[in-house]
Amino acid sequence: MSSDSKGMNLGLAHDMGLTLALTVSVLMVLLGGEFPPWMWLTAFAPVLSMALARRDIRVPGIAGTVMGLAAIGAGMMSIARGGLDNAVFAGGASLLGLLVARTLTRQTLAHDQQALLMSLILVFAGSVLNVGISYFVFFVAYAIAGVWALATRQLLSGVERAGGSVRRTRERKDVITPLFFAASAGVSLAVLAAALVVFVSFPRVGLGELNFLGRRGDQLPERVGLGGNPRGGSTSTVQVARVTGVPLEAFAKGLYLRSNVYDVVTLDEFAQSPPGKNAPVVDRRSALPTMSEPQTNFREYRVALSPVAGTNVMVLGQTRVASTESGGTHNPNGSLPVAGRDTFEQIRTHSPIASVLRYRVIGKANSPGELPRKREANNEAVLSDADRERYLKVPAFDAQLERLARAMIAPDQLVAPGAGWEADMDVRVARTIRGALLRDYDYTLEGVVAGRSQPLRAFLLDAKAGHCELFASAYALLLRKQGIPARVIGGFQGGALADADDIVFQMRHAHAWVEWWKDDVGWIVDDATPEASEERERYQPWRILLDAVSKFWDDEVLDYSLEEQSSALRGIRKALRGKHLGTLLRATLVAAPILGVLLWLRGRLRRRKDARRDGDLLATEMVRAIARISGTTPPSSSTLRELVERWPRPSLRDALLHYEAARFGALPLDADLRRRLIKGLRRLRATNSPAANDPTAKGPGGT
Amino acid sequence: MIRRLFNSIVALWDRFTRLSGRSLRPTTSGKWILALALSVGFAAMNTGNNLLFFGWGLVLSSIVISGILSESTLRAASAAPLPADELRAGTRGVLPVVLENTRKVPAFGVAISLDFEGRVETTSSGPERVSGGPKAAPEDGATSTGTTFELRLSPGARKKTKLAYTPRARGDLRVRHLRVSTAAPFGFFEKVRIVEGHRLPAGTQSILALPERVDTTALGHALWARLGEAPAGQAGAGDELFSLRPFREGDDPRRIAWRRVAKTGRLVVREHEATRSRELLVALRVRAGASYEEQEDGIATAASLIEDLLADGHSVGASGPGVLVPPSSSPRQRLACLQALARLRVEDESPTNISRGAAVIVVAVGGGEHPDAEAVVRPLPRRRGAYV
Repeated sequence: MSSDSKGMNLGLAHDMGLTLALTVSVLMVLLGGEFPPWMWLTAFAPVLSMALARRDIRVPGIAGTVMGLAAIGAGMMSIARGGLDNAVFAGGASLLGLLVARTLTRQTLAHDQQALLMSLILVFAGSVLNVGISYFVFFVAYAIAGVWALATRQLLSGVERAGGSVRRTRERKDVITPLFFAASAGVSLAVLAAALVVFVSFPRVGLGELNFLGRRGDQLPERVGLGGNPRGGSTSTVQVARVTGVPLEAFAKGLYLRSNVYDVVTLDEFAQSPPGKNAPVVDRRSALPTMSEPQTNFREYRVALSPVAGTNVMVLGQTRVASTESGGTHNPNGSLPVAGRDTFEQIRTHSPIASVLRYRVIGKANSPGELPRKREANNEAVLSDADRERYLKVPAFDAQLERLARAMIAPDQLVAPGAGWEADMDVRVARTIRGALLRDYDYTLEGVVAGRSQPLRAFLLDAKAGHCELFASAYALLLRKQGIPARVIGGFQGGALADADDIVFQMRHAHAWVEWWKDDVGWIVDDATPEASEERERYQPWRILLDAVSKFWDDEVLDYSLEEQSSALRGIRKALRGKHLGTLLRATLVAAPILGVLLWLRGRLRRRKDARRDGDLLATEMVRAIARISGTTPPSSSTLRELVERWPRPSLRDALLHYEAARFGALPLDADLRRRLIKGLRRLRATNSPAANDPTAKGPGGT
Repeated sequence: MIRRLFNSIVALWDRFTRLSGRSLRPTTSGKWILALALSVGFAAMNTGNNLLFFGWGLVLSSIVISGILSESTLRAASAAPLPADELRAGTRGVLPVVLENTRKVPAFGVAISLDFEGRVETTSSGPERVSGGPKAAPEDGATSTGTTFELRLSPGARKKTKLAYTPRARGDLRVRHLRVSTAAPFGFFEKVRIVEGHRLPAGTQSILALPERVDTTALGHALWARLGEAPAGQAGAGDELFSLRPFREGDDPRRIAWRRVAKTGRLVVREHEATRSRELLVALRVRAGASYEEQEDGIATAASLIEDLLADGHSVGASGPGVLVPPSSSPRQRLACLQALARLRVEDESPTNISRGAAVIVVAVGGGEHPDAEAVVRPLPRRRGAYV
């Protein structure tokens, strides 16, 4: 076996390709963010396996069996605990475990094949568990590494099947040359291009859904403990929503993307009272009639909402209309309609949002503490007794808290009555409490009250510093204590300006604020968190670019539907119907036959040329053989046929027949046949000497 | 109805593969990939999950591109068998094959094998088993050689390689197919280009498997001791007096016949008669009703005995049903005898009056009387390695 040192060791190349393919497939799933952090350890298994294999260290098969069984068991337990909703998550977790088991204990090429197949199934699982753009990046990497691993495995497997030594073959360096690299990269590109064609062209005709298998993306909880670290402290840049059509002045005042409404506020937490997220939809108009406002103040804006909030449809404030445009389901052919308003006054869909939901809203972008300009009674703003009762419920205050609550609204502290609504007592009380919180309390993301009992009490009396959740719950409780119905709202605040009227909300913009009730007005958005009033941020240019890519991914890839396929087809048909179509058709009609004839002639000429070249080679050999037999150089005036008839030999006759067919009949001379004929002639030349031949034959030259 | 449809599809596929000279067979991973392609394709089309479409596209395109590349590899690789060296039934031999890459790009992962048809020894469980199971009568069937696998063939490279092959039975084996196959690049499918045997170069369209070799060394020595030597009819090294002749310069003085010298007064020396081995004819006699295995044991014994006797310098010939090779000790005699025995058909007529002065050694299959025989040998069983 040759082992030129031109290229890479075949075994090493295979191990590298396999390791890369397996690692990438694991990452494709893990990057979905569905798995706990410790599962990231599985991403190191392929590298570890390669290191062990290179050092000839074998992990016993029983260890793999145990790991595999444990992975299956964990997956089944996960389904038992979380139900069918957890199916893909549990399946993905089991598959990761099985892949680790197989990878660490792999010893034969069959094991490598099993690992590659598992990795491919992981890639499919990743299409449900990770819908981010990272899926595509790693998908490309997987295609390259997969082609690499499969091609090298196939070569080793061929040697194994033929009974050769795989160990020796792994050491060969004459296979994985730069040309092999280039060829496999070309194959990868071809595979990706063909995959793209399949992606674009196959019609999305089905009505099925996969989201019943996927986990619901719901990162806004029903219950928020105040003793923990603030969710608002997140630095995650995962996009939550992109709002288009909001005027800049509204953005400058601060936008509040409203999601969850919490009616229960205690000294420990704020939460939704039962049935929580299962609250029934009571108003199918998708409206939030909370504040009287002239129709002219309502604007139309559009929201592209990522699946992060279960069934909640987020809006910027008072809403007249919210209607789905597209998306929301795993199947881009379908769309998830906005169902309406539930008993918590949240706008909801019937089923969890599974993909980016695009909807149109006609409503207002509320600012903190904003009241209608005209003091007019709002007939829609009616709070039922039951609602009034639940939004006034307060926990028992101890003496210190009672003193604090009283001190905050002491007559000397109350803001002076203003004009219009500002003269109203409730408004003055709210303004006073808000002012006190903004003035006397500091904003911090450090968990200063973390771990303490009754963290809200600790915040109000001792720490006097905290995060938005503490400010919001404190403001709501103090308002309720003064007889003003109030509730905590969870959602996102501020956002970043990506374009003229395009605002992006990310997970790091998570925020909590307050809505309080004013008779004849409705629910008023208010915020007592100092940080909320800071200057608005703008998107960095590179983030704008990344977001554009992300938007393209969401719009053109994830939501590529039958409708878009149809419109593309219509576009092509329309283009063909244009005025140039006739010219194009006529040119095609003329050019196609000409091109066909030219190609046919080219092929024929090439065949003739090949036949002539082959025939010439054969003729040369025939002349040489005849020269040897005759002992003289055959005269150029004689044809080959004449020469062969003069010195008849079977191999000469055979060669003549094929030569004439190739030379004059343009019948291609098969390479094998030509080689055989030439070999026969050479043998004839070697075995014939002039002395051994007819002594009377002096050749045509002698006559 | 469904069965008929299925059968017609299978027939159509067979016809297509016959006409195209190609056959396609999914490997284990290929079957998995096909199953995945079907299930994922259904899921993707039904649910419109676009990322699943990407994965599905990856699988489908790798299947298609695998087909294109394997076809390209098969077109690039051309193979032709070369005339085989000596092959013995039951013994692993090699068949030379020349492999060439006719294109300007390297070809990866090309495998070559040969299929033979001819008399194939079968067992109850199929033609490939060498031992075990009761023997059945010979019948026409097929056997395949081992596979030789070339990892990489450089552009324009021509390489001679060897196929391992153990013929199961003696006789002519016609090459039915030359198979050039590849599973490159992904190993999902094995595509085979089938070259019909009759399209191969003359001299490589069939091979001859010589009779199986059994150990007859001891038997040969025993026969030698029993049959002895014959006078050569000329002077030479021997024990018997051949003649007296006048003394010549350089003769050994010890060979002078002093009595004769005393009687005649002329100086004469003794000459002895040279001996030579006897001409031997190994005759295979097959009694009617002998089993196939007994017949083959007899043929293998006769062939091996002839080889051993020729190796010992005897002049040996062979006879049997339809076979008569006169005794000779020429270098070509061994192959002549073995080839004749390889093609022997027990149902043919046995030649008569075969002795012509040679000592006849009968290899008797199934017993019987052999009055013309100077020695009768019972065949040795081929696969037990011991005399009976």
